[in-house]
Amino acid sequence: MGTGKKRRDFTPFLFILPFMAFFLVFIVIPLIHGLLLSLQEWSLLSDPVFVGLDNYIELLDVRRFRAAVQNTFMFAVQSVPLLLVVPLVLALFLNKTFVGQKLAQNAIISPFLIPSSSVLLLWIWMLDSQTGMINQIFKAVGLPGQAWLSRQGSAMGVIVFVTLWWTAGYNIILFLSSLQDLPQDLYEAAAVDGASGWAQFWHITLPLLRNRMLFITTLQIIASFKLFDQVYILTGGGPAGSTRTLAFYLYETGFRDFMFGRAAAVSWYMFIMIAIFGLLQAKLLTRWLGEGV
Amino acid sequence: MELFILPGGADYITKLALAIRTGAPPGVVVLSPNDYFRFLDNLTSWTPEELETQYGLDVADFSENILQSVTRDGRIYAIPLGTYCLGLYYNIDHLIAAGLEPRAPETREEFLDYVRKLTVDKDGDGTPDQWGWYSFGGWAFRVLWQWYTLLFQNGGALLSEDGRSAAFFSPEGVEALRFYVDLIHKENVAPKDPADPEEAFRIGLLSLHVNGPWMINLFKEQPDLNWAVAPVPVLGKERVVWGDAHLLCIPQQSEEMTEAAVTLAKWLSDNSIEWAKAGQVPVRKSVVDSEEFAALTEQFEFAKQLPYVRFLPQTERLAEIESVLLEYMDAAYLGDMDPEEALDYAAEEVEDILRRR
Repeated sequence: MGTGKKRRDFTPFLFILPFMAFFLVFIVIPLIHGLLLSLQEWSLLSDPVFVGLDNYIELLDVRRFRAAVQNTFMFAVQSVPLLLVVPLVLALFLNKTFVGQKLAQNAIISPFLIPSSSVLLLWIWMLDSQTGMINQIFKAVGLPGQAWLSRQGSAMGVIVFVTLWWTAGYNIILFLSSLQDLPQDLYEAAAVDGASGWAQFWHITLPLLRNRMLFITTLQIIASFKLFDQVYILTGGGPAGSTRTLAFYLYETGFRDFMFGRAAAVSWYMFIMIAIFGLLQAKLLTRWLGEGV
Repeated sequence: MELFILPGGADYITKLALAIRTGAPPGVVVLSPNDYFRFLDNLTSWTPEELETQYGLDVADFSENILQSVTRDGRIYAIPLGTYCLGLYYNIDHLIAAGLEPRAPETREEFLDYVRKLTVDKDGDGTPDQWGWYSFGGWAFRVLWQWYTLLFQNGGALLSEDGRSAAFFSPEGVEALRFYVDLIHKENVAPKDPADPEEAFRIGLLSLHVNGPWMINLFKEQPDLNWAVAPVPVLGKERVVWGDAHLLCIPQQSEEMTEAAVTLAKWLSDNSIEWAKAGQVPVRKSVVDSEEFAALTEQFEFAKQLPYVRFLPQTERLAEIESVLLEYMDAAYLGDMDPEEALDYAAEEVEDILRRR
């Protein structure tokens, strides 16, 4: 009896062991290691030296770090709402039945399946101010060409746009799967009561999508605060540092300048920003859409 | 030995640092003088005599300039494979069409005369369809390299002798930056918006283009492009050109491995004519003087500059310094900041970088 009881207690742990092993090795230990690293000065080649909170304090004094915080914030503020609203509109459109629906669905969703380097090189070629396709089209219709990626005003906007074009597909799939699960009888009842399409959307669709929207916004905030590929390939942080994001600054600090302690501190600042924003949006969105359905 | 090819840049040196740190360094590794500097403590070094007697490497056969950059306290820390510097590519057809002699400009006056005559608005819509010169856009570092060249030609320097402070916020540095900015905003021989000059030169939109020897084989692939390359003109007072190099470095490892590694490095150096064919300039005098190298017309033009190629000061903080410089140069080139103001701010930030640690 006694041994049987012991085995029963042990079995559940065995089931979660594979996951826990990975979780420990790839998440928990690096997390703790990162925290320790952020309290050290380490150049890879030398032995680490404990410096306390120096990295965190020094960073506040570095202009490029402060600018990176601001740039990251600006990107998140522009991209998160767009990556919520545009995919929702497109998902509603793709949820209808029309001729060529499958084709439209594939065309709109597929960009996110292309690897970042391919997508971004494509856009670099198209956006070149002298030889790029987009300016050639502008010229052909009599509009002045633009230096899309090279102006301090427009570079971040272009990154937002390219990100939207590239990643919207993922959110569309998430929205579509929710839309296709919505109970049809609610719509039928509403139609019987004479509710217009807009009223149906506002009072049925949107509240039912609430959890999905919260989920997407949270994912989107995390992704936006981690913006790296687009900056690395499209602008290298330029022009004049206007697109240097926190993730890019982290990369420069660690992998280019070999200041791994400071880079770890940057990542913890990133974590704090994401946490604050995530909680804030959850509160705001919950208030806006109501507590539950 | 096994050969691993990794793309250059930050990831490359991080991988190398990790390999050294974990005690499994590569036998031979290719580094630039600025990167190799970070690894000095972990590299094998020799006196010139050791290289000659133990390995039969003729140290006197190397270009003095480059050998000096890898020597510290009488010990040699790397076997240089090849070097590169800027050259001036020019479109011969454009020059002839503009009534110019089909050769590269050599002085500032000639350069200005050329770029003015080569900027042509063919369809009369107010925007040139052929540009004499532009070099802002595309590969970002070119902006720095052309500025370094003129800064050095003006007699200026990037850092002070001891490497502890910024020296580029000087009349020489400001003049150098202003020259390039004025080409855009005063001379109007370059578009105000940055664009990639490599592509523009390739398709015949641009007449003069400053770049490294790695473009040789790319431009050769372009069927209708009638071009040549020459040493960069003297836009300042002295004949100097910015350059960099490929060094064969041997991380500290077992005696047996070191022996094998040096043998490989020597073989690569002895056969560096093959490296030259890929669009690089060898640093062995015997190779540079060989008939085989003279047959590489374009590479030979670059090699003419070997005696006065200047390398950047060796500092662990160079990458950071260059990224600050690029940021403020962007602002100056775009016309958002006066060159003097831009370099003033840049110098302040560079001082800050050099002061920390």
